[in-house]
Amino acid sequence: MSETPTIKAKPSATDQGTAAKESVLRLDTDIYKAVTAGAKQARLRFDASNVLGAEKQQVESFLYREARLLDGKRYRDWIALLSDDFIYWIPASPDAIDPRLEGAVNFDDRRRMIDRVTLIETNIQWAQVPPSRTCRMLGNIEVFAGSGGILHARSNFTIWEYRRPHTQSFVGWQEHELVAKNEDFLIKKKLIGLLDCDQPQGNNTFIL
Amino acid sequence: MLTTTEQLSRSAATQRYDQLVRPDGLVHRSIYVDPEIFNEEMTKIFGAVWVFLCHEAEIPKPFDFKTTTVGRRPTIVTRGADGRIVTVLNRCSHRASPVCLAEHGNAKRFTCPYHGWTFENTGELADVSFPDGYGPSFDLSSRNLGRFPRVESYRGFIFGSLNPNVMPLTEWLAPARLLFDWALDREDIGSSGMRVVKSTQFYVRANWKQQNDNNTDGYHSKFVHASTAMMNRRRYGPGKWMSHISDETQMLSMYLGNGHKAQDQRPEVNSPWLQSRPVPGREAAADAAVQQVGAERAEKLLNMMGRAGINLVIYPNLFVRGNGNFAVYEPIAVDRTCVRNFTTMLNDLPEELNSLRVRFDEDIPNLVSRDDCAIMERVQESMLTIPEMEWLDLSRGLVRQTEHNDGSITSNKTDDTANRGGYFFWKELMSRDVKLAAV
Repeated sequence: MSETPTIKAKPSATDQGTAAKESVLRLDTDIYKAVTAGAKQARLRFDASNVLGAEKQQVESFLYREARLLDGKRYRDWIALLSDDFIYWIPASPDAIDPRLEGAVNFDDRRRMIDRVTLIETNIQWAQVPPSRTCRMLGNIEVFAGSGGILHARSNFTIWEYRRPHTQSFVGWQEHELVAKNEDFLIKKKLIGLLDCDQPQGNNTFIL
Repeated sequence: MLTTTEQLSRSAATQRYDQLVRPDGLVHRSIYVDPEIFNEEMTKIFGAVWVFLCHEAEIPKPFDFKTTTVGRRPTIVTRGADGRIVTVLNRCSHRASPVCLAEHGNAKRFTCPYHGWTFENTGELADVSFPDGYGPSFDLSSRNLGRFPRVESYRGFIFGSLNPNVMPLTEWLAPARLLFDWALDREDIGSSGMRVVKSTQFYVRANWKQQNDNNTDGYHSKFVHASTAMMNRRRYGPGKWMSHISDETQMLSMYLGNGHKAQDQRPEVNSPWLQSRPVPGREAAADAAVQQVGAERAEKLLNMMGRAGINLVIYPNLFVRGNGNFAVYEPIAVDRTCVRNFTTMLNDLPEELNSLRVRFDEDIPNLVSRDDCAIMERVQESMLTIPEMEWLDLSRGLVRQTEHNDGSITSNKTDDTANRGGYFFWKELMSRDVKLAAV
């Protein structure tokens, strides 16, 4: 390679490939702080006064649909539900508040999530050949009002995964931050409180 | 001088292991699936030589402690009041209960939950409940927590051994020193203060030696990680890591000595930063770095992330990547291994770059290692269930390897030279009797 490496201030113009056409989340300090603040809130969300009733049905339907898309391996349809500034975080400790301070089980933005879907789509990701079969169950769904029209949905989940030859379960709570769009929602953030998050994981290769 | 008995038992062991690790590079499946060999390894490998425990930055203050396992033995690494590092077994001298139930923390004493015996954090038995039951000649000092007889540090990396007669750590590490120092100097680790944070951890249903080999196996990358190379290309175009592998490469598979081995990929690394696919926060962190320290220094710091170009395995359980991240392999059972990654954060780096290091260290375990684990697990099952196919072939490169004056052996990165050397050393260790002691 003959070029002298230079640091580009914008998303690199020399990057080719499909990612270059996407808008890139500038995951800067402000966004990290918002994620941190959200995580703090997520763990404290038992204030009954801002539980919503009317929106709950819409949100429940949405969450069930999301689960159905993921169980059905309709990854591109699922990607379409993600906002441009989507953050996905599975902390690696039960009390984690700030994703800057420790490695996560997963910390992905929309770009990285599309990378993961692209990996599956190659059909030669050996950890997903044959692909996992999953079945997600949701419960304990509560919906809270956030600021700026954002809804926070808190739920518990169980996911059973059959990845030949093993069947195993994943369980925990999760929080979705949802923004309204065209009478539907986009997922701005998905925070997953996996029950055994601070323990070494198995070969987790599907998207929780 | 070996006694006659020791000589005889050494011969028997040597004969046995000579049949399992052959000079032509064939290795017998039993060394991966036989629980008896696994148990022996916990003594003859994980007890007999230096085992990496943790980094000093994980226990910076007096009374800080961290727990780990050494050849499955639950272990506490801690600092005494005077700052010196002591390593004790997490097992009450009374009736074998663990005395420390936390994974890490700060404690002057450990009190056993079973009968309340209390130990200084450095292991001395301080107090016994209802002592009248033991009489006046009861000697507390003979009932301390079992302690590792040897604990030494190299540039912040703490190693311990249950073998009182193990060679000095500097001698043990000598064959790997050049690369180890290169990695640490490159990362400027230790000079301005650092923190160590936990990164991704996972279990793999495979023998620890499979994992130990994986990071110094250069033959598999193009095939096991074909999906990663394809994804890189589709998403980010050519030139990202994984596009460089070929039989014509100048990269090396290296057996260093004392079981240590490496892949040297530096000939193909031009810019770790530009060759790395994006992780979340890449652009904002780069901008923040340029703003804070100027373009030239920012470029240097950003190039400290991404693949530096060496995979260095310090036998038997430490994996050093050249980009400030290291990993520990813990054998759990003959067919189960735990891998724990750690990220170093440097005090004189802009915090945005420290956060970026954290994101970088999640990248390979989550996007790449998954496929290694899938392969290793299926191989483990296959070795277990098919006794008629006895051998694993690690002969690649025998025809073209170079033996150097310093005892190292190198050849093309796609060769088994590094791992083959590791098995010859493994055989040597397994052929030796060793007397361990928890003092």
